Amino acid sequence: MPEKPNRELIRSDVSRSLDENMERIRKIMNIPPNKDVLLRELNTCGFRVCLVYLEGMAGRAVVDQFILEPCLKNQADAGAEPDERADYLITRVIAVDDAKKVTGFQEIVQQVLMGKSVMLVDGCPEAIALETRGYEKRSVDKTSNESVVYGPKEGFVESLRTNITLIRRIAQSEDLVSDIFTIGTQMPTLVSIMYLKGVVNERVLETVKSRIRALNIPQCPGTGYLQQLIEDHPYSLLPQMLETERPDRAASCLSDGQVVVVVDGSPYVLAAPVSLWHLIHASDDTFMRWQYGTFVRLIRMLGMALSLLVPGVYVALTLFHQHMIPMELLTSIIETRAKVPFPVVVEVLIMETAFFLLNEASTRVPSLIGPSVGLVGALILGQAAVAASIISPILIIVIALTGLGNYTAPNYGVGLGIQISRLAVVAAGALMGFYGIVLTVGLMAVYLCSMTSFGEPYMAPVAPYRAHNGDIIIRSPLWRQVKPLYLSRANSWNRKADGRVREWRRKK
Amino acid sequence: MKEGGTAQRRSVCTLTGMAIGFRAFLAVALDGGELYGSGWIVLTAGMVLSIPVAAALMIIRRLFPHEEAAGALSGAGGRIGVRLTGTALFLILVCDAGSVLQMMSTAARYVAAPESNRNIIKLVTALTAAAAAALGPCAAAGAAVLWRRLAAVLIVLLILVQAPYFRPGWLTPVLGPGIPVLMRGALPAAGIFSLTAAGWLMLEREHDPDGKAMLRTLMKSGAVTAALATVLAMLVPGMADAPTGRAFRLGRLLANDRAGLTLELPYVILLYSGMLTMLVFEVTAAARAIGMALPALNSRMGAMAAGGLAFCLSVSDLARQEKAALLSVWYYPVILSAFVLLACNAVIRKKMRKAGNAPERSGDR
Repeated sequence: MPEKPNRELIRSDVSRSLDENMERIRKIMNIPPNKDVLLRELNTCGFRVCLVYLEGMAGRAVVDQFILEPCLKNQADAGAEPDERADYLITRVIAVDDAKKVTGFQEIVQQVLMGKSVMLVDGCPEAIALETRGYEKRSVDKTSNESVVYGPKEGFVESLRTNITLIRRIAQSEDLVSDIFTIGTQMPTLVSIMYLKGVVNERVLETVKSRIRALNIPQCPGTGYLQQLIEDHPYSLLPQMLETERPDRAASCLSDGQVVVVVDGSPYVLAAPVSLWHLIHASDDTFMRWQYGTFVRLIRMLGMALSLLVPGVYVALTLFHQHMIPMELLTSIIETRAKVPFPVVVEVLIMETAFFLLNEASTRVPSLIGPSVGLVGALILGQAAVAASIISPILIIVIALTGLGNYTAPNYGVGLGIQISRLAVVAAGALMGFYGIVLTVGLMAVYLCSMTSFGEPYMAPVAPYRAHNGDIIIRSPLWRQVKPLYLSRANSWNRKADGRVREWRRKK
Repeated sequence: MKEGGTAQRRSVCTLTGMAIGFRAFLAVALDGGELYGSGWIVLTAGMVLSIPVAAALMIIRRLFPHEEAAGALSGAGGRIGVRLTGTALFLILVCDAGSVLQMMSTAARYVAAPESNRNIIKLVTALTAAAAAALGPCAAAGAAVLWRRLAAVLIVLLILVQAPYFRPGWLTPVLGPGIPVLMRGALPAAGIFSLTAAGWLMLEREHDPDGKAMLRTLMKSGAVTAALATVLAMLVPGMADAPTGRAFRLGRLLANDRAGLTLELPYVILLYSGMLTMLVFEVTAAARAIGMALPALNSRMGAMAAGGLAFCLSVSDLARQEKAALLSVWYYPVILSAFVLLACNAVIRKKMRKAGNAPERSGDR
């Protein structure tokens, strides 16, 4: 593999000569063409120093007030021996809270690129990395894809530090560990693995860590990219990690014993391991009263089942099982299909394609013309297509039901997976009727049961059965949910004491 | 870990219980026309006759608690014993899978696709089963756990809808066609119930330390199946002069002479998914059995071999109803003699070892 230019320079250590160090920095950072890398040379405490930072990435106010100003004020100081100059500056001059010594150019460059400032000191073989990050970032805002009726509204942003803070604000525990490191051999990205010590399953944690650390990739653009590289079954249509933009959901995953992965630059975090049931739960299931939570969850599951099966069942019924349709309905279907020139499978595929197009177009178009796409879609799918006898009216009901069902999937990946699987069900229904559908769905069920997420069964705790709270298919009352999630370690400190949640009832 | 093991045991037991129960039920409902309302007696007798097989499994497990199924069988009967038993089980399972494939294609053609090619249906079904089996016993067992829930809902629905039509009088005379006919019917049923031995092969050793899992599975499966056969007998009138072909009886089972349109969809889903579970169990267990007989064959190759052979048998004369029924009479004696002999041999070897008359060998593989 061809190496980066200046590879040797990057690998070298800091020299005692400030001029030499500055020259190396200039070469490595491609100065002069690079105009935003600033090298500010000054005298302090009787020796020369040079501050290196990236304009825009480092906060100008911090650099000015807490580094440059104190240095210039202490020009007349007696100073220290060359080897002790870095320590002297850290302890007596610079007023930045996070300051540490670095010795290699690789680390210096990495720190500067992250937005920190690095001070090179004449005569000293060590430089000082100073926390000055102050780049522009999006402020914490409402979630865009995981909206809820009840519950917190704020969502993650693209900054790793902000995202960790958002989680820490909810999961306030001294046992919450945030293990931060970089991945990417050419353009390192900060990644944090978060977990609750004493709750997380150590084997799972080790698996997550080892998979991420063993990645040999030049860069990691975000959580979606990382997820594809570390999941158990990359050929599966369904995701095996939960991608969420909600800090409360991430905190809930932590307290359930899951591992949360935060990647710098991504407004989503990953939680693992998960089961399919996690992916069809929504945040506000927990915040609603249990009756409402159970009802909406069942509706959601029904919606997803309809989305997977309805077009295939329609095809199977009309092609193979006419005797199962009541006579009035059968007559109606035949009448409405009389002028349609296509076989029912082609008709379904045309409508499905139109639906996929509409879906994708409305995702991509600017928000201002989004309603227009909806209007055009409604016209094409509705009146125009029926009037032109391209499709039958009953198929519009079928596809509308399918589409609505699909939108109930709270996880975008699951929704897409169902959409693709639906085509297989349609094909099976067209070829062999209900028999084909049962074979296809049966095979899908076996495949789902063979899947794992970081070694944990994907269909657990239902298949295989594991002891669990009633919060998988129905959402039972909170005071009945006294067991820790089956994913957490057996002797987790997070279990509810003695199974008694509502102590006030005992005191009565 | 322990919890995961328990979960796996439950899943495998569910798969085994559901598969053999459904298979035995179909054997009575589709192949046992002459039993009239006494199918439940045949099923109960079949379950009781199979208890010695489950007991033999329990003895072998207890004598070799630290071995996998293949290791325990090897310890009980030596290398030749395990290969013979594995081959015998494989052949029985594949034969029965061929018969099930034949049944499935008949059902598919009867319900919807009379003009479809029978062999294409069988091939697609065999491929599906082989693919499912290649994913491993845990996957098939997990799917069975899911299917159990769906099946329970459908069965309750069917029973509730048909409750007004129950005729307990059709259960009489209790002994139906008479004891000799019932005993003849019990033999194939016992053969199917003794396939619990095939389910045992799929259990990991640490999941069943006392060896009772399959005994319990057998009892539960037998009881539930006999109860369902009783319900069926109260719904379908026995007709002494009715033809006993599978297609005819399948039609009667689906339409029930009364509420065909209302109930056909849940019946069809129950029938198809039950048959698929049965077939997946047989192919998965056959893959495990052939893996014991030929250790060089990995599980995926075993699954493909089992699926392929089942397909070949299903297109041959052997899968025809009358021949399949004749063959099924032999399942029980073969399985019973194999496992009882292994258990006896294991007990004798263990006693000889204790007496110091035999060299100490663990797992003669």
